[in-house]
Amino acid sequence: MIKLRNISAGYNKVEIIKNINVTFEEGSITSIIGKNGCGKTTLLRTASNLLKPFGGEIIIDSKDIRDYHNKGLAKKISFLPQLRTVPNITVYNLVMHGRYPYLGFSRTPQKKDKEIVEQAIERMKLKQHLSKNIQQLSGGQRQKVYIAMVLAQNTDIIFLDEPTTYLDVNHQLEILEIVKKLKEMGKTVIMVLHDLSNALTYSDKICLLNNGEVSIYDTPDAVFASKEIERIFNVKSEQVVVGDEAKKQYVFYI
Amino acid sequence: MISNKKESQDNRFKMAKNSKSYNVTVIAFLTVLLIIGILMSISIGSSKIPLSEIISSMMQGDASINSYKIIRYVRIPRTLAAVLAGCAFSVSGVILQSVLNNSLASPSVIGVNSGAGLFAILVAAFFPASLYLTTIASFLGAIVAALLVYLIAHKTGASRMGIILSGVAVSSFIGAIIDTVLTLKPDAVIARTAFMIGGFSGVTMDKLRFAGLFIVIAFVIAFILSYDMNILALGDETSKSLGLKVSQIRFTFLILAAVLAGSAISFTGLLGFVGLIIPHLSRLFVGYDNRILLPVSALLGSIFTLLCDLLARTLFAPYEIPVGIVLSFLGGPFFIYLLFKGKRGQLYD
Amino acid sequence: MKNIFNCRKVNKDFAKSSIKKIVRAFSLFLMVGLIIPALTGCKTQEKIDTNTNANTNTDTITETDDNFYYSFIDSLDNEVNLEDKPERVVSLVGSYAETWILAGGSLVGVTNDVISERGMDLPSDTNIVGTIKEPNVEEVIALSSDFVLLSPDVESHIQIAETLRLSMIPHAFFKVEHFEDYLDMLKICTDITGNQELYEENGLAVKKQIDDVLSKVNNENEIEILFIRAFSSGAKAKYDDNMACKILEDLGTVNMASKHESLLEELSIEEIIEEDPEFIFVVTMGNSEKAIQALKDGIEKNPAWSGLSAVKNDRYIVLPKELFHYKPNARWGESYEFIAKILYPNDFQ
Repeated sequence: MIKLRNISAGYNKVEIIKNINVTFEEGSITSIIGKNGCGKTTLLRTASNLLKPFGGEIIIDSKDIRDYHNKGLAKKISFLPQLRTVPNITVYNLVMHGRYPYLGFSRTPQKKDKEIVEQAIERMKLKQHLSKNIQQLSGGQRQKVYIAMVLAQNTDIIFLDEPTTYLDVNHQLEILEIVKKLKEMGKTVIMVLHDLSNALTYSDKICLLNNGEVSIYDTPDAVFASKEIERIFNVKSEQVVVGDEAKKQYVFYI
Repeated sequence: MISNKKESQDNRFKMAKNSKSYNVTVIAFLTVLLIIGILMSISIGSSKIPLSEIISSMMQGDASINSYKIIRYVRIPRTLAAVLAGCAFSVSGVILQSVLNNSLASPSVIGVNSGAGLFAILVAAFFPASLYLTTIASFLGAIVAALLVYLIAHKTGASRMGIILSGVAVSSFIGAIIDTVLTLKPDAVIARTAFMIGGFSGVTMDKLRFAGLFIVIAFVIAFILSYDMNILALGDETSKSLGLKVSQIRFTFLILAAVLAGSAISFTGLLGFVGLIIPHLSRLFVGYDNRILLPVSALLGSIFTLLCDLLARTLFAPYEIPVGIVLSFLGGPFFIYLLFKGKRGQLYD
Repeated sequence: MKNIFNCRKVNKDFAKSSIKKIVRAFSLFLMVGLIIPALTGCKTQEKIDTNTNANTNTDTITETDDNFYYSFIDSLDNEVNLEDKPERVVSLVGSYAETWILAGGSLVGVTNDVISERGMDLPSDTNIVGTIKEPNVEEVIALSSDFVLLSPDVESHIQIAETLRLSMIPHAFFKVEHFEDYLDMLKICTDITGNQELYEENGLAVKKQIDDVLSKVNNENEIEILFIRAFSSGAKAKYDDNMACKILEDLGTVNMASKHESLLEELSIEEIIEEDPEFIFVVTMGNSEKAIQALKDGIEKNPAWSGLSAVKNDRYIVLPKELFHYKPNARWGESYEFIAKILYPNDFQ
């Protein structure tokens, strides 16, 4: 569980987010949504300790985030940024990097590390790409490799910054289904999503930001009913039911 | 259909390339090559000494025989100098290219060349003819310049680009100081030319001991930390998320690179290309994993520098070409060839 | 099924880890292999120190020690002790080779500038040991040299002095800029060769020649002159610390560069017009024709150039290299006479 209390943060002494008071419950999926520039990524980076806040506290499992050692924190939280450099590395080695916080001084992977890596790769159904260079994979496959890396890192809390942006729609949905599996494994997932419909469909909680402050933080149904999205984005919205299993989908229009 | 086949063949090749046995084979092969190179360097020189005489005079240890003197005081120090310098510059280049994510990075980028040059010139201008002072001064100059580069970059965030820009700025500034010193003290120009071209003549075991120790220690540390270089290549945010102390580690690597290059410069002057080319050449053989790239570059760099030194002192015997010139002659065209080979295997698209 | 799978994996892992251990041991071995030579150099170093009879840095010594054939202090304040009369002398500076021959000695090794610059006629068995800038120390040792002449102005000479010391080859630094320096060096050389009469002939007689010239000249005169050193890529004025300029100064001239120091960097026609010197002397460096051509294409193209008194009155003179650029040694008197005839045509026929 991760709790943010009175958090304010920004860059170059300019405040981007303020008065953030949210708790991300264990085993839940939270999507952070909002207009461009409202501070979504800032919030994500602050919560994952990549950015030092101007004020406030972050508590992880009743311990202040500042009391965690580098590697100790890396075993608790993982962060997958949106844009990444694509290094020249095989699938296997990239997933193995997820074990870095657990490697000793000699930085040699042990048997346990190798087992976990193989499991993660299998889970992501990447076994046949084991020795391939990730530069050869498609965007969607690459994203899965990174998620395998995060799996190997074996953290309770996972932050994903726009994990589906730039992906084809089938890959987008694939990734989101995987996120659901992460939740089934007991992990807490907090992600910034650009696509509002996906966010509302796949999350347990929605955190809607506006001008750096939390506008509403509640279940998708509640957020939708509040019509805050319509107000902030200046659009109209409809809830529809599709497919045999009567899944809820959301449509936005002008 | 055809493309699939090619892809699977490529995969097979890539698989073989990254496998442990391939890497071990490469290292073993290069080690053997290095040993051969060392033996050749000791037995070949401008004064022809037959192998039998080399062995017998070294066994006897009679310091009054010419062949003993030549082997002991000229060829062995030179050979060791070439091996150390080649290793140091190459590893320094690997570290910088990896940590700064820039395949054109080389020790000159962090200011060590200009720093060493400045201090060497100052010694030449104000304390001419003092051998050891020049060695220590150029080493100090290299480290001071690198620290200055990092300090300036740190104030502006210590990003990779920031360090490179800071290096360019510091190098230009120091270059201006050097020119000023040369204007005021024109006699130092001779020392500067010798320094700029770089060479191994007149190197003694004394000079090497101090620098060699630093090089070996720095190499060992870099080798242990080479895994962290792999992590750094994933990007700052991902690295931090994995628990790596990014700015600390980057600083450590910069210092290691500076120590390596500075130590080598202290006894050879500037040997441009080695730090730039050898990492690229090594990557062609073993890819980007720094744990392998580091030792392979060290070996390859030593072999290449040994070869160039051998050519430098035997091609036009008794005349000696400065090693730096041979290095550039061989390295330049090869670098062009690398460029023509295309964008295959680059860090970034 | 899974168990079998794991078994195979375990075996592979074991094999991989042992290969890794071998690789590690290999690299460690390599590193140790580099350290040991460095350390052994240290131990035997101390042994050599007690045995050597070559140079040490002391200021004392004025009498010849009974144990040595000859002792003196060289231009770097080193105490040079020669055990026996040197028979196999190597000169790493062309003009010192000439001085040694003038002192009645013979040479086994010289640098190529004795031929390219001085056109000296040497016995065919004299070996070339490289260039003045890059002497080949291996060759020097191979020649079993027992005395080496060096210059403190050449960087590589200072570096190889250490190697010569370790090889127990006596060597000395000489700095010759003006006639007095040549005279001192000749004295030492003739003392060593035992040909004191050659000191008379090639030293004192020349001194007399110079004194004769100076006696006819009032050095309080203040004939305004400009001295230019030209080379293929430019030209600069010279005054201080230059052999030819001292001759000019002794003969009662004032060098305008002493008042216009910027000329030392670059010739400026405005400043030359301002002073309008009576004489303009030129000495070329490197390729003479190219240097002269560069002057013609450079400052001489300026229309104001032909208006200068020196140019109009045919007092723009190119001085011969062998008397005014290379050290004239025994012909130093000729150099004085040459200039004197130009400056005072009535007093010197």
